[in-house]
Amino acid sequence: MSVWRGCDIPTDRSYDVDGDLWVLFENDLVRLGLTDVAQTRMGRMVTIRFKQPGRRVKAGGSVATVESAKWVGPVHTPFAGEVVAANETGFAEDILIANRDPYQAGWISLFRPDPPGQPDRPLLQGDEAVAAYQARIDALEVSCFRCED
Amino acid sequence: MRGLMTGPMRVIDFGEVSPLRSQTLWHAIGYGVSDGSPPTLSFMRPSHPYVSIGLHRRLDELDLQWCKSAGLPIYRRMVGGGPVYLDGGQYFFQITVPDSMTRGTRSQTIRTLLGPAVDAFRSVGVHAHLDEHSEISLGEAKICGHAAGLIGSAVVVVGNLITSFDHEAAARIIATPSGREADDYLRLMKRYVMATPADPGHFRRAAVERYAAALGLKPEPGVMTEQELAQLDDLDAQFQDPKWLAGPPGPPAAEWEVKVRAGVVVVAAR
Repeated sequence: MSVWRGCDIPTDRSYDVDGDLWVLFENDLVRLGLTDVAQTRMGRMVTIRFKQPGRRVKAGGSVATVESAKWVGPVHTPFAGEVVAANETGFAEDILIANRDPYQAGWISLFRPDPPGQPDRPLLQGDEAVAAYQARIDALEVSCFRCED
Repeated sequence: MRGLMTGPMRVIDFGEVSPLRSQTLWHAIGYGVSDGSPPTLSFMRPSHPYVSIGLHRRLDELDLQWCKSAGLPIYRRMVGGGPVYLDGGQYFFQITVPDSMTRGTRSQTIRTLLGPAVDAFRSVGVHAHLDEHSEISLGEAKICGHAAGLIGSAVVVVGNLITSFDHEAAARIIATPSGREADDYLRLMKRYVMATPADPGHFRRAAVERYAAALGLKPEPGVMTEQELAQLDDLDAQFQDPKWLAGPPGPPAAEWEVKVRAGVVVVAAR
């Protein structure tokens, strides 16, 4: 785990740095979620709408849309493929779950890349991801915080 | 904003357009800027009254029967916020920039992109301020409805100069549990939502100047690209699709409430 300006950057996963998205490979599936930077920039979530399991999504398409105050934004997948599961239960129980725990309980979508293979944008890992994300955090002039209540 | 940019700021004044196009035009611009069109400041006024509902909101928040009897079309937008009544007394503006130009939190982005609009209000004699809820206000009253979001990879912030406001119609579109809540909503809306009858032409010129200065861009009159026009056709179809209008399924809210302005909410009496 790396921390930069209060933003957690776990080193056990891959990142679409510019998309503020984390990607965890799980055999032939990928789990997608918002990074600490994304949840901080968005602020307290008020609504999320998921693409449902079985839906096919093209690379760059959205697997969910999130709303906070008057802001709405999509969660883009870097892969073409099919939604296998959406974290509806987690968000139904606690709409702030991604604000509190973006890297574990606050995951967004479980996705099957189809065809298996390359994402439509570079995914970074390890030190390379940390360095790129640190640069992005500096450029964005953002410091991360989590919801406590 | 990420420093001062260089390059053009496309300015498009669409004039008076249909209710449908008063939504789909700026969405098409959003996709266009996402695909490489320059930052764009656009303006328009709807030719007829209608209702717009935020991306995630339930359609049954509206009094659909009354909207139908009043001949009000309903369109679901791709940005946030609740159901709103819109008509020709509202002069819409939209600032659309690549997300790569923004920094800080989204609420900071919204404040930054509403700042030049506040200056434009002041330029036309309305002593507006951006309050702690990021509402453009005059005293305690909101004078500009705004919403924001990401369309593709473009940030869009929309707002309006309200030259006249039909409080009765704006309150009537909302489904209320009883006459009591309806009365409260109308009373509070009259207190907290205000028209500022400034000249739209003066406002537009001031907004162009202020946004260009704030973004460090050179304003240039422009038109939509072929790609944006093709996107517009798709959006026209999408916004008239009953499935799109129906929006997300889900359980009704645990309790009825409606927002008058940020910080002022009517809740149902128990």
